[in-house]
Amino acid sequence: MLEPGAFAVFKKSRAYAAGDVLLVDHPRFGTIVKRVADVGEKTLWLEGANATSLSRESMGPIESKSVRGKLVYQIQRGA
Amino acid sequence: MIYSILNYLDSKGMIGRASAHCDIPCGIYDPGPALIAAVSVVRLMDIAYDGASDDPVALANLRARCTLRKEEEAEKVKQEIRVIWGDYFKAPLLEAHPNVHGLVHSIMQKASACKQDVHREDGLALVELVNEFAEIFWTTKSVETVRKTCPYPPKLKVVYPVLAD
Repeated sequence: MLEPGAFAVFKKSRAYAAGDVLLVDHPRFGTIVKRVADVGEKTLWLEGANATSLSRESMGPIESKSVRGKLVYQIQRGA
Repeated sequence: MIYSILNYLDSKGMIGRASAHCDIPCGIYDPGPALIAAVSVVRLMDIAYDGASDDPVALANLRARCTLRKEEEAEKVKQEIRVIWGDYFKAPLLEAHPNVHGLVHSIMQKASACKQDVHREDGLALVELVNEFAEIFWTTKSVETVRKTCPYPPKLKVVYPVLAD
């Protein structure tokens, strides 16, 4: 999980798996960071880490072209 | 050290931003719901005390409903204020309004006091604290505010934004 105010490094990948944390350009919600809940044939379904996060249904299926990368590293406050 | 360097680069606009923790990354924040909930707490206290009935069961029912709703409205105050404080107020705003942390903590404490008991003065204090929070919030939006008596019981002075159109 990302800490508030953390700096994060994302890397583009050919494929993503459930559990990956992605940087996504969402058509309605802007640039967001969410976890992959499920991987479909051509789309991904996302979920948030918090109970109050957007539901996967509200975010809808995500095309791979909207994914900017997978979280590979984060620098937290104090580092 | 690394974080400080990145923070400096970020302050120069060299690093992109992404939302990960907000409830809905839509940028819509408004203290209005918190104020309505705070006023509702006072109203529910009034109804609990003023409600009269010859039927003791009906009176118990009324007071039980008031207590339940008071609990929910006080919790709503806490939730609404926490979201604005946690998601909307970023470092520059907090530097400009350093009293926000203390004010939010006071709101949390006072809302809890309203849940624990039925002291009207606690309810009035809660409304005043949320009014102060609303004034700070609208200041950050460069929107003037006015305190007007809300047009419904308990007819308390409430902060409203003065919007251009």
